[in-house]
Amino acid sequence: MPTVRGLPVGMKNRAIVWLLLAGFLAAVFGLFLYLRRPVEYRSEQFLMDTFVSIRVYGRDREKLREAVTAAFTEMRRIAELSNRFPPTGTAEHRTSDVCRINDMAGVGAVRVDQDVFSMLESARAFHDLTGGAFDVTVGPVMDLWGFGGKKPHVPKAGNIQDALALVDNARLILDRKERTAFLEKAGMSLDLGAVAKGYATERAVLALKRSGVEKALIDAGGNIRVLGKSAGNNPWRIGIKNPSREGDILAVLSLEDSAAVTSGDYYRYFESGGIRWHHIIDPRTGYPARGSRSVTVVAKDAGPADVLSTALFVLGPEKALETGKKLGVEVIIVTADGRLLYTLGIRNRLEVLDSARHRHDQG
Amino acid sequence: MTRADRYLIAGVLCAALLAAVLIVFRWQTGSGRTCAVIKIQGELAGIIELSDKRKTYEFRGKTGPVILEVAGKRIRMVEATCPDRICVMHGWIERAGESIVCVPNEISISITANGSAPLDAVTR
Repeated sequence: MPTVRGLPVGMKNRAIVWLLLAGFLAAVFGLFLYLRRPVEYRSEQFLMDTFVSIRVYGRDREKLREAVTAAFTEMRRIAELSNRFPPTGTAEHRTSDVCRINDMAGVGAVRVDQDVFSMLESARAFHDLTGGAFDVTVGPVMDLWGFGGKKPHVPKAGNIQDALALVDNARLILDRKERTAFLEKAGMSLDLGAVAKGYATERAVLALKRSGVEKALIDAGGNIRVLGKSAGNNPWRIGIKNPSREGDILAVLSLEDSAAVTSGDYYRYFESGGIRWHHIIDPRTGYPARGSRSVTVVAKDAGPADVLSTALFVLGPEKALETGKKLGVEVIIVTADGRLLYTLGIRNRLEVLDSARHRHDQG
Repeated sequence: MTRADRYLIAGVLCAALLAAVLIVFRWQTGSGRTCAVIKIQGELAGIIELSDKRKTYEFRGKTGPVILEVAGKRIRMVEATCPDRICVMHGWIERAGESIVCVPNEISISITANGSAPLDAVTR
């Protein structure tokens, strides 16, 4: 009887059959996993002065496409309602509730969309919670600096004082029953720049959820909101930009179902007289807030995260950490002198990279 | 061909199939930018975008400081305190999958494959 390695032929054949069967089962199982692999759909649109990208994962590509379309429609609607820059007389100007409120400053109350009213109420709440470090009536000062359109420049101190006289949250009258907003003094104006993007992102998340999406990442110009876990069923890995170096990552966040929004002095700024003048204006002084280089807020919801990243930047590092703790959000700060500070609640989800500790700048 | 060969071939084929399936399954998404991932003693120590502008980065390896240089979408080790300096001699790397390893310092620099960036997004 011919044998190989001492096995009788019959037994060896049986071994081969078993092996082939096992291989076949493995292949079927693999194919099953392959077919169950989530499909990705991603799309980008230019909205609110920035690129907004939405990535979603699921089974059915067509459904995902519809969900993303619905999310963008919702975001665009919020963008149009809160845009304060379209010139008078244009259709965009007429559809913007913010333009309508600003046009009627000192004249009368304007009935607004429910979403605009919600944004204004939330902005009021954060104004009070941060002792006025955040104020949507900062419009006149922002216009003076020229951020967000025309050529930005350092205004004369006297002009800043005049503009500051028009910044007063108490003179924004909100009537919940009538759903109206009224700026009492002529010349006052609203700027929802630090509110609308986060609010719109949260509306987009709601639209995605309604369409049955369970995994998504929305990147609204660096404002990140993740839904569920990543495609590989791990927490999403979100880098925090190093404010001092282009293209460098300071730390990595591991996030599920939350938002991470950063305000930094590098995003919109100009230099004059050797000083960097950035767009995060302290509504109490009329000048760019000093003390922090970047503030990242991690929260469940992109709305508060967006508002708070700006408000906590204005407050300066120590008060920012304190306020963050009080409000139950996590805060990661790079101070003006280069220190990295963060609230303790984030430490298990924050990986600080060595490159943040050993910097070696050569321009 | 003996039966043992067939045995072997069937086994190898099954393993290959399984590996292929696993690779396809382990797909990831990325931001599309080329990054270098720096690991020191197995720990993630840095993620550096490979830009055109010249920049240097300092890390602390096991034997002392090492300096990396990025320029023209490439990266190299310019200075290291290791005795053999194999890592410095390695020169530039730029393509996905390439890596520099400094054994005495326990540092590895690897360029991530396209579409498998180490991050899902960056908040800025």
